[in-house]
Amino acid sequence: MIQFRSVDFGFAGQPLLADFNLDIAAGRTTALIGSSGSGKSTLLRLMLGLIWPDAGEICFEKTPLSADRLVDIRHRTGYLTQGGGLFPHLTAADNVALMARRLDWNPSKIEARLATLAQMTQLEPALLTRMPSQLSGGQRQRVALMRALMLDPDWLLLDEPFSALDPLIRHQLQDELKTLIGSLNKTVVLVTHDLAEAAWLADHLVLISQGEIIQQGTFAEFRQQPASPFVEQFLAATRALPG
Amino acid sequence: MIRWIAIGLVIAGFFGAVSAAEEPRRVVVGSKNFTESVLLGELTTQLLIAQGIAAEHRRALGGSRILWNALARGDIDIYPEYSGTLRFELLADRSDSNGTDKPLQILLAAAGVAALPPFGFANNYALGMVEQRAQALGITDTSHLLERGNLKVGVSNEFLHRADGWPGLKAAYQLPHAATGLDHDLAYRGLVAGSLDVIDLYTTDAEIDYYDLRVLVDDRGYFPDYQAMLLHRAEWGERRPEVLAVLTQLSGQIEATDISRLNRLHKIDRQSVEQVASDFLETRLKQSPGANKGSSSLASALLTTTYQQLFLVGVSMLAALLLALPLGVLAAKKPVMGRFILGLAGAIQTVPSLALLVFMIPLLGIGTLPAIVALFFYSLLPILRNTEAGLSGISRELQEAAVALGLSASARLWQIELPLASRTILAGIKTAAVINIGTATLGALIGAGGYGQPILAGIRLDNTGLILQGAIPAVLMAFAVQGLLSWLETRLPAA
Repeated sequence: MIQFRSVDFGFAGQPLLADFNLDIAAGRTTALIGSSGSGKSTLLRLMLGLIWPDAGEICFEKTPLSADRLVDIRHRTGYLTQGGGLFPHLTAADNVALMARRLDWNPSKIEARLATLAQMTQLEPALLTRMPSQLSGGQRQRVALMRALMLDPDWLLLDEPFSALDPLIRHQLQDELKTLIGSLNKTVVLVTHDLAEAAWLADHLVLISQGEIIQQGTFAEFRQQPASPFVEQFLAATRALPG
Repeated sequence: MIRWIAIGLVIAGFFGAVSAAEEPRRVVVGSKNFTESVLLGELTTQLLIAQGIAAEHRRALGGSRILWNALARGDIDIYPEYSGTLRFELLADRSDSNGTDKPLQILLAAAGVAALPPFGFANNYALGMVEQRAQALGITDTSHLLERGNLKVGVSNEFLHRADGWPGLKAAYQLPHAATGLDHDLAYRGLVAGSLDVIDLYTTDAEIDYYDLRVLVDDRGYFPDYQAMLLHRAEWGERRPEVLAVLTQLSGQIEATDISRLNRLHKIDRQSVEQVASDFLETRLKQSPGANKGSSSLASALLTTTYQQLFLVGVSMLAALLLALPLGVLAAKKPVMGRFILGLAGAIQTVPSLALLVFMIPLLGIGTLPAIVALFFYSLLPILRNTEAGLSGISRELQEAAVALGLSASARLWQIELPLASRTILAGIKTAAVINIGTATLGALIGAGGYGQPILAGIRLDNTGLILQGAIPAVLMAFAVQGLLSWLETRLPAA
């Protein structure tokens, strides 16, 4: 369980979060949805200690995040961003295995893990010897997902993981990720502005606007009991195909 | 912190080793950067060697002030100077306003310096014009210039600022001209080419005859007498009497006609300084120097200057890398401190390279060490700035990806950030190396040798071949270093 407790956070003098509280349940997939600038990516970056709250605390397993726990938390967290964040000077395999090597995993264990992950993310293993620039966008995101999963993390944080991909690949990856998440039984936090993606992948949706939670619950609850006209608007903003 | 101290110690040790490598017992003779002074310095050196005293000649080190300070500091032991220069320029603050009250020996003694009896000739300042032009304008005396305010006057840089030079002359004759400062040897060429009408001369210059110049009469008696003599630190009277005893053999032996002839042999007839000096010693003093005779072959001269140049460039670049790389990392990690560091390095870079070299003289004397330190300072900024820029230019997504993986700060630096910044950093090193090689040729001005030495001698002697002997290898070296670093670049990861 990850908890935000009375978190204040501001950027350049502008308050982004004020007295923000949220519980993220363990073993399930929670989607943070909202328009851009709503503060949802900020929540992921706070969890990783990339930024620190001005007040309040973020708890992992009931213990507040602190500087001395940070490395441990990061090793137990997989993080995947929109662009993948692969290091361009390392091969795909070196990107994935980087942290495991720093932790002195033995080479055969690393090889085995790479093979498992390639299968899991449906990546052709031969591609692992390539540099990121020699891979397609979809392949890069698969490699980035492998890197996020390498240390078998307890928490998986996905920040708009597919929004830079073309619709066909995105659709395919969303399917695969759903299968993957279903098989892993991890705590997943998905940040997206795509309501359909959230509804497809997540058990629990949290709608955020201007740093505040407007409504949370299952997609069915959102549909049946929208908490405000804004939620109705947000739901209606998904365009049905004409004809 | 400890790492910084260690790096500082390494650099300090490096410079320490460089300065310790210089031999203490050998007599070091210096000379100023014009033909006659170089000849006198060579004569002095060869005479010492002929008499079995180890000596070396640091030739063409710079102007009077540089040599005077080098003597006081002990960087050189002996150099030829002129009485007028001593009285009116170097010791001007010790003498009375008109500078004529006390004997020169007393003024010198107060400065801890002594002079040997003069060589026997005076090399006075005078103004000169091309004979034909002077005749056409009817100018024979300096005061005639008063009515010719439109004439273009060019004087050597030192003369332009000396107390006994242009300012005093202008005041004494009330001359209306504004003088341009330039290199003395170039002034002759400007005069003959017609871009200058009047220049300052040394009365023993070979060019006076060669170019058929008219020496204007100093009709108001402004210029003092410039008797040539050797200077040494006063303590040498007791410490090295044998050296002084040998050198007094030169006293009274060189007349004005002699030195004019020697100047001409070297400058116009292109005989080497070594040859001219050893011939004179043989015919006049019946000395056969043996060593140091004749000019060395082109190949061995090239080898020597290449070694000196590589040493200057290599050591200064290495030291600059050792300091600028960590400072660049620091600047990228601590932006506030970074602005200060980059500002400081930028300020150093705005100091003209020649000025930076000369600033080093009062601190570190002359020779290799001050040149290396100046080149070191000059190489800092490009490396520093590109290291900072390369690291700061890494996208936030990649920086955060490295942090989020849980990599330690040092693992991030070595495995992610420095590799990603390496192309930018290498580009900075390339810039620094090319600037360094070019600037290192100026090192010859303060006695550091290198490719600048033939270039300076070539300018002094109007010898294009000699200039190219320094300029071409310098360009080739710059190309080679550039090529080497470009090849290295292809082996680096794409940014």
